Formats: sequence, structure tokens, C-alpha cells
Amino acid sequence: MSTERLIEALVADRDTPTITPARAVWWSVAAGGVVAAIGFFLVLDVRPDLAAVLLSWRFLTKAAFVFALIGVAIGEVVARSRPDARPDLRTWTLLPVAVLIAGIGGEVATQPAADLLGLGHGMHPITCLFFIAGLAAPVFVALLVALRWTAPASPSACGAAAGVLAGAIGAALYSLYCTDDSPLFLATWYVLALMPLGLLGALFGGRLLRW
Amino acid sequence: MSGDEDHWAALMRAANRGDAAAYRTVLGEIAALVRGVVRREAAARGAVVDVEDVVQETLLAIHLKRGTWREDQPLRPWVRAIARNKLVDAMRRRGRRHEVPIEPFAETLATEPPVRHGLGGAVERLIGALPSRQREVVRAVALDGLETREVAARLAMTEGAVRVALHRGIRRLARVIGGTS
Repeated sequence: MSTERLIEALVADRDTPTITPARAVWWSVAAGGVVAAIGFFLVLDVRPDLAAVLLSWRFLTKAAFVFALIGVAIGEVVARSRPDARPDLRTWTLLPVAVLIAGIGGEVATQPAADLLGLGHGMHPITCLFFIAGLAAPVFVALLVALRWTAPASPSACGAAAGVLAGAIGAALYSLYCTDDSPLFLATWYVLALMPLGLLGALFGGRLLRW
Repeated sequence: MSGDEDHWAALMRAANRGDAAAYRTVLGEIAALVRGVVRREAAARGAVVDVEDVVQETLLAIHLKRGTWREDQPLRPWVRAIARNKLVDAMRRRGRRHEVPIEPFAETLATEPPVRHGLGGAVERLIGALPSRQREVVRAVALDGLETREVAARLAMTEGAVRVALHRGIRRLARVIGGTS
């Protein structure tokens, strides 16, 4: 077929909607997030002492970490879902790491040295790993489906960012249940839960997001 | 360069608002640019690719992925990125791995006419393999140059159904060509 003819077909098809990366991400976060939230309230539910700890600095550190990570990950997924995306990480992606480091500093400064190891281990590390991954799953699937409409320069990098975003949303929900408030626990187990999600995202993204 | 860039971006923005003439113009100019770049690039590395196939694959991707272009950004780097992706794909399909440097895409203003005006090529073959409704609609629009309204009358379909069939046909073409999923 001549290219002119193909162009005519494309022109005739111009009214069909296209999806922008931002919209793809917001929709998957909303849809996956609702499913994950329903699962959360069915299986886990909010910790009973939430009101009491809500304004403690350790809980706020946890909240700041997950929300910073969600913000950074949304930005990264959107940016990386474009064909002309730059490969380098931007400085602001270090924000969640900075929150984590500040939290660890505060914990080490205020807690007796002998307790630190126990605080890092926490009460429910395996529950944490398991549920963050489980709560991340709906968002993960929704993101991989929606991002197929985009054109990432590097499908695996975009997928990795999507995996971390899904994990961050799982972590945000889980943090409402989790009673391990130490930033040391956060830096160990939350981060350990997020890493395989980023890896899975890179793996699936590399296969599913090619265009 | 910025004047030219503004011109392209303005056309694409108009196209996004439904301006058929602007869309036709910008796709034509993009085709000419991509054609020149792909031809030179393929010749430079002695690679055997069907230039017009790569041009058409690039146009299909541009059409289906146009939501990934930001209206406040220049159009050309986005087009170059898509063309590069499609050229690498085409070379890979030929069984050789190629890294395509970005430079040949950087400052190309040459516009070259297509070699092939008649039928033939990968896209035409693949249209034949589409499900019947999609095939009829894509052919009527692309080969006979009919409006969707006329296609609807000819095939006794609603205009909406014609649009859906056309869009599905185009998406399927792009998928099959890329060899992904």
C-alpha cells in the first residue's frame, strides 16, 4: 500500500480517542487502588490505635515515605512511558530515600542502641512482605494493562517504575494496619517488599510494554 | 529550526482537535522526514530494510501513540524516537542487532519522495490477513479513498461501526507488523 493511502486511513481514524500517559496512570492507580482497598478492609482493616499514633513522628515518617514514593513513582512512570523519555533518574527521585535516612537518624538518636536490632526486625516482617505484595497486585496488573497504550522508550524501565508505584500503593494501605512503627522496620521490610515488585515490573514490562 | 518546529507542533495540535487537513499535512511531512533518515541510515550500515515499510510502521505508531506527545513539547524529537524504535525493530527482524546512533536523526530536513506508489509491501499483505469486516473497511478507506460515511453506505454498516472496524484494523496492523503479541 502506498504511504499516501495509509495516511488517508489514519486521517479517517483521527477521532478515535488516544490515551495520555498521565490518564493511563491515574486510571490504573484509581481502579487498582479501589480493589486493593476493598481487599484491605476485608482481610486486614485499620489498626485500632490509629488515632493515637496518627501524629507521632514515627507514623508520620512512615506516611511521608510512602506518599513521597507514590509521588515520585507516578512521575517516573508517566515520564518513562514516552518514546523520547530520558534514561537518567532525576534528583527528586531521592526524596523518599531522604525521608528514610532522616527517619533512621531520628530513631538512632532517640532509641537505646541495644533496642535497634529488635526495632528493625519488628513484630511482623513476613506479614509485611506478604501483604504489601498482595495489596500491590491489582495496581500492578492495571498499570501493565494501561501502559500498553503508551510507548515507553525503555519498556523494562517503565515497568520497573510501575512495579515500584504499585508497591508504594500497597505499602500505603498496609501502613494503616502495620503496628511496626520504627523507621528501621520501614527501611528494612518495606524496602525489601518493594524491590521484587520493581524487578517483576522490569521483567513483565520488558515483555508486555514493547510497541 | 524553532519556526519549523512550531509549525509541526501547531499542525499536530490542530490535528488533535480533529482538523483532518492538518493531520494529513503533518503525517505527510513526517513521512518524508522519516523516509530520508531511514534510507540514509540503512545505506550507511549496509542494512537491508524496506524503507517504505519502516516509514509506514512509524506512521502507524505515531497515530496509535499520539497521546504520548505532549502538546507543549516540540514534535520532532518525539517523531525521531519513534522512527528510531521502528528502524531498530526492522533491522532486528533481519536477524542482525543494530545500535542506531541518535545523530543521523538530529538535523535532517531533507524530504524525500516515496519509491513505491502502487501496491505491495508489508502493510498491504497484512491488510489481506485482517478479519473480513476490518479488511473491507480498511481497503475502502485506504485504497478507494472513501469517507467513513460512504464506506458505511457501501457496506451497509453504521458510521460508528465503520470507525470501530477501521480503528481495530489499524491497531491490528501495527501489532502484527511489530511482531509483538
